[in-house]
Amino acid sequence: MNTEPIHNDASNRPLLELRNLKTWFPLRRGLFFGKTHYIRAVDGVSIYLNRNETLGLVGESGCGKTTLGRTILGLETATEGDILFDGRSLPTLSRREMNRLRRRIQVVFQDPLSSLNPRMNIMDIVTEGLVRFNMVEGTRKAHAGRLVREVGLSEDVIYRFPHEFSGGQRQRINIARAISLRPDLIICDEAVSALDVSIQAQVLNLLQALQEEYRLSYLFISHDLSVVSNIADRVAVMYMGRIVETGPTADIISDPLHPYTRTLIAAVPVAGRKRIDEAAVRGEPPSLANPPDGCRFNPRCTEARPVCRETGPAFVQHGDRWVMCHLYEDEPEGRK
Amino acid sequence: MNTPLLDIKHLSVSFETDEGRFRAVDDISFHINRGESVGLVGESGCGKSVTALGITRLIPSPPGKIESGQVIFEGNDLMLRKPKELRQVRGAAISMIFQEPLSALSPLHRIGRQMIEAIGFHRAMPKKAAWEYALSWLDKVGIPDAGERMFAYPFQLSGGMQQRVMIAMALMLSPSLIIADEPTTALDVTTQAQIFALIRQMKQNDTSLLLITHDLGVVWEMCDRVIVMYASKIVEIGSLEDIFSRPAHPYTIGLLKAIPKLSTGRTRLNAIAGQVPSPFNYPKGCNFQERCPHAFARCVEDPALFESGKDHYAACFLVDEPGEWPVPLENAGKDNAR
Repeated sequence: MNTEPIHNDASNRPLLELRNLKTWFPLRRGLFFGKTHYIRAVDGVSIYLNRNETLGLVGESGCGKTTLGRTILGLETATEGDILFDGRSLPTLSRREMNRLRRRIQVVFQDPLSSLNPRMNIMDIVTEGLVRFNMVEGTRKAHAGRLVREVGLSEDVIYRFPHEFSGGQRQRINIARAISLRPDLIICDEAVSALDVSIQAQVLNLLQALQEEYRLSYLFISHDLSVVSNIADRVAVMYMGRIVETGPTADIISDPLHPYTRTLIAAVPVAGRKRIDEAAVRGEPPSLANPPDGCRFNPRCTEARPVCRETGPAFVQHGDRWVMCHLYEDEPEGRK
Repeated sequence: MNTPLLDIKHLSVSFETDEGRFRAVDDISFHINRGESVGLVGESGCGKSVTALGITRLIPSPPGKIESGQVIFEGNDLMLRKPKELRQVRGAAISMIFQEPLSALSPLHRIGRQMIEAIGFHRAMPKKAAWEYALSWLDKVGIPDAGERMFAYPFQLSGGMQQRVMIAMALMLSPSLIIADEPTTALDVTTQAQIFALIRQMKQNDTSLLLITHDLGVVWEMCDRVIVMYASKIVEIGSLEDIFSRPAHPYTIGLLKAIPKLSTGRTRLNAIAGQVPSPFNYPKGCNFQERCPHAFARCVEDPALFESGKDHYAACFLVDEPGEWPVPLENAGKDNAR
């Protein structure tokens, strides 16, 4: 099994490490004449995230990125593989231990409104976790006031209710709640996708400022490569349950290796650039219950060769990057 | 003939809510020529979708109300037409593509049946001919196994495929004008690119397109002319090049700067400070002044659309000021938030 470098030394070790993580969902037997089929939403993912770093996880709908985020949070059960948080294996923890650890991993979801209990005022929302973990400093009111100021809202919002705010403000409230417990890691799952462009920019700046101030790590999940490339230090590209390429953001954007990454970049409308070349963006993501033989991207790949339809490529190192593609397997270096 | 296909004059639409009545669209005027693709751009709450619905009088009323204005389509004011006449226009002369195909397609009926229903309403075509016609259009928009798909329900198709069905339905009756409201927002970027190509291909030379979107990248791909809206008003109109190379209104400028470009790592983005004011709380004068880094003394009056270049207008007093831009007020565009 090919993985990125594993660090066992505590000081250097990544904050989060996924080892061959799989999350499969069984389909009802009845549909397929008795044989159980699975939706292989996450199908062998090995990536890592360091402290004070942002890893962008990019992919289109159905690629499994949201399921991956949810599996890390414990909202889905991993089928196979390991999730190491600060060296500790999450799937092996007892419920008590996991609950204690939850303080350190927080999340901001896509829909700002459904993430907020409409019957709780802002003060209650942002201090709920603090109360749970006995971390309130002074009064709840004072603590809430400080938190909302940190995300750029004025203190008088604390007695108001979610429906009174705009999408951008609600997302700030979600962020205030996420940082209230001073976590190590925040998973942002399409956290700015539902926001207008001008508000998106504000919230991305806020996330970056908070990251500096509190030495946060972000797993930033998004379908939008443009957004991700402005916030991530490293990027992992996901397709049909697997990571097809990882590397520093600058490299991924300026010199994409995997044909799918190239497709994603070619598909981004860029004002001032020539209009999108349609030939570069063919095809549709096939069914997750029935992935194609060989390399999963081969039906849509402009560089597909016969071997691509027969065997899946290995995840190989290419400089300081990793890529899962037959085109790069002839490289002499780094082949595990 | 050089008369525009669609000419909207002083359109205003208001809505009644628990908190009172407010104007979603305030005195909008613009036109679309034959064969032209016009982008109507703006962020949440600016009134662009309401404008689109207003053109075909699809605004639910109550609570909506078209307060004033004319919508002159092919020489006739749609505001004066009876509902029966409007139904002839919708779907045929003017067709619409919505953001969520699932909300526009009936979940209870197969696709073939829905398409035939639409054809039958506007054309006198025998059922078999209508079936063949619908099938040929599914083929044209790139739906594989079109024959089988005619028997499918909408939920059995992917988002991209559903949207292609919508496009087929929007185009098959040879409309003069297609109104597309965020047609690709719910789609992946690669599917979006394919849909752009498809719309461009399918649109015959004299079919006009009104494309409503918040995404300037989409405008770049699809439009000849651009209308920028903010908080119920038009703030800028110009050609694609005017808007992207010579934006005149501070909101347009701010919006262009705020778009995240493909970057190489952590970047501080150029946000526009503050947020859109509530329609119950519009300031006196220009609606953008509280967020504008250039707001100055005149901004407390309502700006008209001043000429910034040939066929290029911006509702901003800065455009009307001779010489250097005036010194902004002290609190102009201060970002109270991080």
